[in-house]
Amino acid sequence: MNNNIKINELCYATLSMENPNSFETYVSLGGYSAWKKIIANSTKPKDIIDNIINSGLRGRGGAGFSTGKKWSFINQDSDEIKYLVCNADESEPGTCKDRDILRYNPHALLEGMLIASYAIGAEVAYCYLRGEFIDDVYLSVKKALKDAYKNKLIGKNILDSNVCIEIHDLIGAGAYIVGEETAMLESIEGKKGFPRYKPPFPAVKGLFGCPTIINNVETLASVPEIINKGSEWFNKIGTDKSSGFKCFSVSGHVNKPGNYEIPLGTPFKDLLELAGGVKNNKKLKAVIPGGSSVPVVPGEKMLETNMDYESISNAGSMLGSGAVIIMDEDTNMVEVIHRIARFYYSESCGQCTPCREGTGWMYKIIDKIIKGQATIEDFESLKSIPNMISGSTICALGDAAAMPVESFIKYYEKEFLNYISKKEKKAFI
Amino acid sequence: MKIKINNKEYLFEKGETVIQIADRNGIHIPRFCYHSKLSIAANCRMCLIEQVGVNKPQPACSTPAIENQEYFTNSKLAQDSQKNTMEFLLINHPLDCPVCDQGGMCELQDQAFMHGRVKSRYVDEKRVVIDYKIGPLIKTNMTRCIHCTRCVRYGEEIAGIKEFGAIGRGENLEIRTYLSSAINSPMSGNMIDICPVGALNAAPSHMKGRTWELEEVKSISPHDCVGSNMSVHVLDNDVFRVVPLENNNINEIWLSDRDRFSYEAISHNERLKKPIAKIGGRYEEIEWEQAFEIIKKNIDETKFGMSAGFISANSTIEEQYLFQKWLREININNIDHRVSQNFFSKADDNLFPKIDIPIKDIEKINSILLIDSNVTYDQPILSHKIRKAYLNNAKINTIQTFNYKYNFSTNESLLINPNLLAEILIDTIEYLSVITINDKTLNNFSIPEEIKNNFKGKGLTDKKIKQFCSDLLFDNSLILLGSNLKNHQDYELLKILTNIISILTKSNKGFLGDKCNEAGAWLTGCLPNKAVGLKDQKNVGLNVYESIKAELDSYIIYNLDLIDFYHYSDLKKSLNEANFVLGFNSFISDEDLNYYDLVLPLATVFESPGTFVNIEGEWQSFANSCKPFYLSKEGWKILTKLRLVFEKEINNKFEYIDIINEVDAEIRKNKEILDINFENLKVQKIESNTNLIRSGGYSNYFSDNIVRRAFSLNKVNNNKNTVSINKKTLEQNNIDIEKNKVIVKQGEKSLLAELIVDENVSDNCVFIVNSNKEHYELGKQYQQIKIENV
Repeated sequence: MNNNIKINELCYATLSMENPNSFETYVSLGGYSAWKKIIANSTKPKDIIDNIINSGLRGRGGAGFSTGKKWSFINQDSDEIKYLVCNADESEPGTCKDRDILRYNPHALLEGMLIASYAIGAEVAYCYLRGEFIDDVYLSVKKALKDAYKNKLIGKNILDSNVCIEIHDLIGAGAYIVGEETAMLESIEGKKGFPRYKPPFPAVKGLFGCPTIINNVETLASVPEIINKGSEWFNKIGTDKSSGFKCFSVSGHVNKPGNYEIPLGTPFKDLLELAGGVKNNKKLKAVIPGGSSVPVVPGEKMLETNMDYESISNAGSMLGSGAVIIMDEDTNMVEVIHRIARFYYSESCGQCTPCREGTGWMYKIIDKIIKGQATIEDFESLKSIPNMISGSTICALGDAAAMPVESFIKYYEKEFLNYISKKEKKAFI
Repeated sequence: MKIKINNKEYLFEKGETVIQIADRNGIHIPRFCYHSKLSIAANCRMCLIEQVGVNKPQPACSTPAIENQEYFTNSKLAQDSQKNTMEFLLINHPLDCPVCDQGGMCELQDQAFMHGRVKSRYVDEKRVVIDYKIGPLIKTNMTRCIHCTRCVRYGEEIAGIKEFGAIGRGENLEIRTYLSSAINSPMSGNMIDICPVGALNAAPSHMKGRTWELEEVKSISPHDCVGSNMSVHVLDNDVFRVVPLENNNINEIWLSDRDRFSYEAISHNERLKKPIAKIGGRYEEIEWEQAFEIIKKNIDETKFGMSAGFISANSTIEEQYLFQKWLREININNIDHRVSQNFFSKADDNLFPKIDIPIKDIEKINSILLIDSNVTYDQPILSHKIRKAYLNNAKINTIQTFNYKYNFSTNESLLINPNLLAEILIDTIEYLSVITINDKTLNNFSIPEEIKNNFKGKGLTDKKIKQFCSDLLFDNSLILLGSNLKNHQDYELLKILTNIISILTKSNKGFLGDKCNEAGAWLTGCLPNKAVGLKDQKNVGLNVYESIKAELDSYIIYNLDLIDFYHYSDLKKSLNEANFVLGFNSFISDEDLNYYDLVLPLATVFESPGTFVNIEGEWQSFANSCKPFYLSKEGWKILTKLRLVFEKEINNKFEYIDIINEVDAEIRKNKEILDINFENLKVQKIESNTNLIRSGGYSNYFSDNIVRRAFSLNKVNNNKNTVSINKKTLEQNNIDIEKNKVIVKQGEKSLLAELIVDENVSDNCVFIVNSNKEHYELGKQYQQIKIENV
């Protein structure tokens, strides 16, 4: 193992300390100094945005778009009210990185939200938490907000300056689709979580019809350190195009599943080693490298891949939200895709036709395959459906449902055919 | 700006979407969720097309056209995408077209024919959705729903009452009402039209015929004062259904439920088949010839001046014209159509029922003052226009006697007792007289002394009045006087006051009507003091109230039920005393029949050609949709025959076209501008009244003899026997709220009714909606009423 890997240096910096989520702990690590500096110097928003662009920070929610560029889409000169929304509706199966940031380092997020709001000119920001976070995560964020308000870091006339930024916390009702940014806006407005069609994009017409920027928790939590240590520091970490640290939630057949924050570009082998290797010393069969919605990558290919946006893309998948799901040689791939297809079937919002009808159709065929009731015609249909869905829906959930099915069939078609030709029968059904 | 669609260049304006450009130029793009009158949803994904340079197909409905961009609606990518969407839509859609009402006019059927597969690849079970009853007008079959959400958006955007929503997620998404409540909008039927599949069907015509068997006749709505255009679909000489006909000047593509479903009355069991006469104390069906003999004999026997004729403002202009012509030919001058009017002062004869601006321009108005108008239920199409104005940021203020439910929000509203309506308008004039004192553009308009004498200084201090006035002083404002006020004793005064306010504020005015051809009745001279074309009548007759009070020898009642008369009980008394009572009606109830000596069966508006003049003065003619019921006859034929019977020298071959020519020559081509002559304006004595007063008006499905008998419509209203009174009034009259019941007394009549404590009712007022027999038996609205404990 490469002992030089720096782990948990940024978003998880407080993890090893006592009372990691307390205000004092965060301040003892230099927390809120970036925010105080900005307030004291009245830094120009444009300088902050340039700083973030130069750092090469990319959105950690899944799409990997340059954060600074996203902020620069807001028209600074317009008088319109602007909003910042923090997407803490972390629902992608396999992903739990944001939960630990919210639980153990909420102040980093709050500081990041303050800086981002300041940079885009928003006076109100929303932190939208997933419904299942109602217990400890929500309480942790609530407490952090209270402490920050108490210390005059949020609210009216922050640190006796003219800057006013309010942060509201909201909790969802447990729908996966609300993690889609425009569905989240609808939900914040009190409506049903249906994604909006684009254009117009949220940066032009978002929350309550006003320009809005939506960022992931990890993205925002990375911002304060970038301001503190400078964009060059961040840019040097990782690869050329993928700079900085990234939290990976390693799960599945590993000895030490958990969240690992490592520099981008770290070889997958090293991450696997950090997580204690494959359970029971079995062989690695396959890896889903970025949450259940990205294509699966066969084990051998994955072992030669580095964990950064470009390398994983070259391997035919996506970095996504950084949820690395490890599957050993005994894994039944048809059962895996059965479970994944079931998830998207039940989480499709039902707004647009291809996804509403297609996810159900895919699941029903896979279900039939597992029950040994499917014909080869059914399988041919199944093969064609992902292509029919992807690209033709309002939001990316259609693609998210289609990509895994497509890739599982691509790499493990034989296993499906075994079921259809009755070579394999599953006992539990 | 230019774009290229399928290699051809088209011009467009900024902000247009590709589908709009394609539609304008006749390029076919399939769609389900897109509707030109609704917001964009982009959820059906049927209109996917290829945008050159973008690897994903784009929905034409939500893609804004980009300068010089190229699109293909028929490339492989576009066609494949459309084909895929079609396949997905048909997965869960039942293929029950043979038993579906929509079959033959179904958008899904048509698109499937063009873009679908020959054979379905989906072989598993299809989704089944529970149907909830949403009322008597719309039959749901939600298993057929393709979730285009047109009905949801219609409710939100057009009807203004959000009733449908999408509940559930994914494949289990259901379009339904919240808590399975019924649909309440007075424009709900339009959802049937915009539903692209058979999920929402018209309940009255459910399973009664197939689309391709129908004949279509263009017609005009016989109800409110709007004159909505409609298309009557006829199956074997029966009206099968009514759908809107596009007319962007009036009803656009919408129709109110009343216009859509009132046709059901045609086959009501009170329909007259043959003339019915009272012979020897018994009522018998007789032949037409015999009926004419009876009429001739009885009318000839009646002394001069001892007869009166009343005609409905819902009759066609041809009937009205012939009615007054016939009566005046036989020296009957007591002619009137204002049967629902309470009080006549002969002061405002020139205040013709009309609106100063075209209906289509209401949406451009900046400020509207509604005076006691339940416009959302009484004139739904006008309400839709006001809603459009409201969405364009118009300020809408109301002075009302009850907080009516509107499908738009009001800016400022004043709830007052009906007795105080005139007073509040005088206060308004007082304020206006002060602020417009230096306005020279008013050409020295002087406010009548009678009104000035009633200035009390209140208008100068009331904040709300100031607000109303300052809003009305905007450019392009409108005052509307509600149709319900016809029953109000001050109606003529209110009209005059409204007129003065409109002059002082330079705003437009409108006197709303609840009948479809009130303007026609004025123009044809169905008035005691006006002849055809609103010329002064030499032999001035008695108006409807005087005629009733005079207890004449014979009465002729045309196309009216007795309860249409405001002076209902007086009328009944007079009819009992009269020697001869002649009725022309399509329907007759057993009770009404007792007052008649002879009733002639009249064809309904669906069975007769005619012309209506709507509130904006638009003449709209229509043909008959079907043949008259049994031996009933068209009004113009009966009246022409009667003129012959009375030996008038008219061509025996008098045809329908001859009336049209006559009416055209005497009225239409001779149209004078109806200026208001203020020299003759006399204001009655203005007195305030402090009695407890009844208000409430008619339920909207009770307004005329057709609607009253429309079966399904009358199931919409729950005709509960209720009385609404506010808390303060109850306390003043020492009513025990706990008992939930109250006795109301009007004159000698009394009624035990359920009590609703409702703060939407003004002080000192008892609100009873006239929706069933007990209510009109009790008496009419705007009369003194008493309440007592049980």
